[in-house]
This record gives sequence, C-alpha cells and structure tokens, in this order.
Amino acid sequence: MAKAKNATIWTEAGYELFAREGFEAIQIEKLARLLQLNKSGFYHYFGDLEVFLDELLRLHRQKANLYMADIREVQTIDPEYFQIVVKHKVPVMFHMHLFRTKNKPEFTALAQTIDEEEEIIMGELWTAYLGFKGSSEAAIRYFNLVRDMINARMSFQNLDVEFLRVGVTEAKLIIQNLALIHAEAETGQMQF
Amino acid sequence: MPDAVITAKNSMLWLEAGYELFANEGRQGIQIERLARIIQLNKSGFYHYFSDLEGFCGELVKLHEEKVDQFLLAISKITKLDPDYLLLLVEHTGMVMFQVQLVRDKGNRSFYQASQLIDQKINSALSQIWGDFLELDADADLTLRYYTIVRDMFYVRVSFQNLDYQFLHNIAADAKKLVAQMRLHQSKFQSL
Repeated sequence: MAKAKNATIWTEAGYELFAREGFEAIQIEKLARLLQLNKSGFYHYFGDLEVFLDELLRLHRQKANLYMADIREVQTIDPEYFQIVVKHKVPVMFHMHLFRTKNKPEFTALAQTIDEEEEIIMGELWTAYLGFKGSSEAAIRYFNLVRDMINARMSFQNLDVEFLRVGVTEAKLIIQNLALIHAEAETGQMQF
Repeated sequence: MPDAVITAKNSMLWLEAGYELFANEGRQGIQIERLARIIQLNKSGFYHYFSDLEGFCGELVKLHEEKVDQFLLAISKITKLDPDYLLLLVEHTGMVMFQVQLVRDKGNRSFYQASQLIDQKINSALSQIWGDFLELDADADLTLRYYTIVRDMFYVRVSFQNLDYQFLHNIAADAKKLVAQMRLHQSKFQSL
C-alpha cells in the first residue's frame, strides 16, 4: 500500500511536469528536487526512465477516459465543451505535448487514438455548431484542423474559456464565410 | 588573418551551432558545455563573445531574422504555392524549425514577440500566393485568416524528421480540398 502510494507521488508529479514543460523536462534529478525525495526511490519503483514514461502514458489513458465521459454529456460547444476542456486542463496540456514528442511513436500513437475517440463523440455537435448541413465528414476534418490550431496557441497561462471562445469562434466564422454557409439567397438564384 | 576576422569567424561558429541546436530542441537545448563540445572550442571563448546565455539567445534571434529576410526575398520571386513555396520551406528547414521552436516557447516574451512579427511578415509576403492557390473568389483578408489556422496546425505537426515536400503537399492539398468540399456539400444541400 505504502509502495503504491509513493509510486503515485512520482507519476503524478511527472504527469504535471510533462503537461507544463513537455518531454524534455522529464529528468529524474528534476523530479526528485520538485518532490524533495531521494532519487533512489525513483529507481526502486520504476527501474528506469522508460518504465516511468510508460506509466505516464497509462495514467494519461485513464485521465483521457474521464475526459471522454465528460464530453459525452456536453450539449453545446460554447460554453459547455469549452468548460470541460478547461476543467481537464492538465490532461489537455499533457496531450498537446504528446504530439510534440518526436522519436516516440508510442506517444504519437496514443495521442492519435484519443483524438479519434474525441472526434467521434464531438462530430455531430461540431457539425451543428458550424451550421453545416452537408456531409459531416468535412466538418470533422475541420474540427481536427481547429484542434491543432488551438494546440499550437495554447499554454498553461492562457488556456481558459475565453481563449477557446475567441479562437474557435474565429475559426467558425472563417469557414462559414469561405464555404458560403450563409449565402442561401445567392445559391438559390443559381437553381432553375 | 587579422584578429577581427578570426573573432567574427569564431563567434559565427558559436552562433551557427547554437542556431541548429535551438532549431532542433528549442531554448532548453542551449547549454554552453554542449555547444563547446559540438564545435570543439573552449567554453571561455563563449564568454568572450557573448555576455551570457540570454545575450547569446538574443543574438540567435537576430541571426534568425536575417535568415527570415533571405526567405522573404525568395518568396518575392515565386508565384505558386505548390510546389514553389513548399520547396522553399524544405530548402529553409533550419529556419522553419527555429521559427517553430520560437512559437512554442510561450513562456519567453521576447521570443514570442519576435515570432509574431516574423509570422506577420511571412503572411503579407504569402497572401497573394495563398489566395491564388485556394482558387476561391473570397477576399484576401479572409483567405489569410484561414491560412493562419492551417499554418498553426503545421506548427504543431512539423518536425525535422517529417518536413519534406510530400508532408507539405498533403497539408496544402487537404486545406484546399476541405473548403472546396464544404462548399460543394453546402450547395448540394441547398439545392435539394
């Protein structure tokens, strides 16, 4: 029991550090300093960094499941979906860094799997949010594009509901104008 | 060689090595020890040319701005996004990746401001070329706003390993197809 608890202290701290600073920040020295614990404890629980990273991925999978359960309940993009994203800020930031970790195919693979799950859950609501009445496949591809754009712009400091609202509303307006979603009258005239 | 020339040459060695390291790993990768090992010079030389790491990074950003100016000059000579601009990006991989690292380092104010300014310059240089590529009768401001979303997605996905013509071509083609597809479905729906 004590062992499991102490191992959890390391993984939780590692998880948050990864979410804040990314893969490069995961150094045993640094973690030990943050936790004010002896490095030997780390080696006792995990053996090496690779095992520890696997544990972080496992923890992320669990946290992603909680996130999915929450977004399944969402009825609106603005504000409900935004609120859930902000509520899960640490896993969301962890997720963003997963993509940036190069040379680690298992990191990217997990990030992709989770993204696909999210896209299935959010597809219908997103398509309606855009006011798009055609195939939702194109709308979902835009969802992925916008999600990446948000990933590029967000940080621990700026990620809040207002930040998401500004970025996503702008993205919605752009695609509505480009795809002529409000131009019913014009298209109508072209019909015989 | 006169001393001044040797000095200029040696300080360039530090800067070029630092530039490459920054492009690969970002600010976290810049350590004096490491740079000295790469260029096989004594650490003391570093302090001779640069006051400290902050000063050195400031010089790296200046070097980056010079490389961006060359890039902008090259853009002024092309007319097509695919393949001209995409090939330019591949040719300037180091500069592109340095820019990506600057953009990602949101904790550093001066990095952030420099990266924003550079993105704006590239936007204006590219506006017409991007607009022509999309082949939409939409105004330049709107297509440019769409471009920034696509560019940010690119910033999230790109790495030294995947930055090649095919990768860029897929992104550009997908971005173009997405809008075309949404327009098509939308008009079909409205004609029902």
